[in-house]
Amino acid sequence: MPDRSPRPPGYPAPRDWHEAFAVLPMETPSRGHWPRVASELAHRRLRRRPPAWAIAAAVACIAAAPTLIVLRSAPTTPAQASVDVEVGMPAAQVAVDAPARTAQAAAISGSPGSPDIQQSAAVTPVPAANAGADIELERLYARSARLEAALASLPPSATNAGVEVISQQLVQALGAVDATLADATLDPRGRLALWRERNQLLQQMLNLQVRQASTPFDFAQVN
Amino acid sequence: MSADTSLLAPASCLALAPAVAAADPRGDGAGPRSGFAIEVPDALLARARDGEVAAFEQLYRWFERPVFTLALRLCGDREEANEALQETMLKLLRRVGEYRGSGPFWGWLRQIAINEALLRLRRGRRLEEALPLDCDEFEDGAAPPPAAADAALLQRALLALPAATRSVLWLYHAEGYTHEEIAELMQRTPSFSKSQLARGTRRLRALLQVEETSHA
Repeated sequence: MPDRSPRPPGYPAPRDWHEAFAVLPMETPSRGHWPRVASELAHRRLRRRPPAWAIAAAVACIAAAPTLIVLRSAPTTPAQASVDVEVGMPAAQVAVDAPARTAQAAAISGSPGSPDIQQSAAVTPVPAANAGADIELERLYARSARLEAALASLPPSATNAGVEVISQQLVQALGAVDATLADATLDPRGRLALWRERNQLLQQMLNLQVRQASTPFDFAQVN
Repeated sequence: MSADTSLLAPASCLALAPAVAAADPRGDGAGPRSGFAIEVPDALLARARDGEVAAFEQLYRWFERPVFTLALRLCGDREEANEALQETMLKLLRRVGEYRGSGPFWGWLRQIAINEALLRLRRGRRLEEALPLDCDEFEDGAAPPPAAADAALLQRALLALPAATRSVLWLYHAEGYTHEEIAELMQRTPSFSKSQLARGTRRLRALLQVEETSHA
């Protein structure tokens, strides 16, 4: 729906056409398109994922890191020792515990800690719950992208009236979910629930279309 | 290929995209700017180029309404404007790496949005809808009638214009494009743009005066 006019009736005429056009109200789209864009983004990220051998090599390097640290010479200051210990910890734990450990290291060494450590602690206070929700959201985006790609890949097939009605209902339900997801003020828990619902609807649409198309389909590719 | 018409090479995009000052045709900095004129931090663009979802969502939220509004003004149809919005955002996603930063980001994105809207008009052969050309091309420099201050009346009058005429008026008056730029966007000549501007402005004035009389 358009905004209310920014100018009340009886407002003086604009000086020129530029002014008249420029103050026309912004319009709001009747439906949100972010879910579709997010889905496409997830699909692109999946295609960009590094090959398995690269992941394996990275994992091997991370696994070897603590051994390498032990082999290194003894640390010169307590603060340095504290920083080295962090290398072997999961990233999320490091982020959560960083301020406390920085303060502890500062207390031991009698100094306010190195600027790098302080900055790191200030910049990365990522709550573990939020990080988990983000990972789950990424997973849902990716599955949504796979389901949409699978739906697009199926050949069109003849449908009877009953199937057509169900299909339309699913499309409408998906539209309603997308419209709600377009709300930027939605809380993270609600957003997660809606993305799960969106994927369930897409899965139902896929099941329906596969049955109608009567062609073999490997469902493992969308899970 | 139709999809590529809105994806000009970065250099030509930037050549067509007016700089910030172009959104203020009077050039005194006091005039209203295009609804698109949103400065985007380089850091946000860098995150978007890296494929970060949150960065794209931020860009989407900032530009959703400007893109939709521009598409609606050109197409005159909400469904087509919705399609243009979705396609513009998908192209932003696919092509953000091509934006080189030589001009404002919003100018680059606006270029894509305009091409998407015009593409829809072209597909429906609606870009052929224009006021007939004549030799009477003097530019109407007079102030708009008082009815132009009423947003509802002005929008109704704009919708009554042929699609090509309305597009020329919007691109020239609201977005600050020159006749040469409009001609390139619409694949017509600068004379076409000048003629549609002159005739369209007179028609708009007449439509508003009729509305004003009927509402008096």
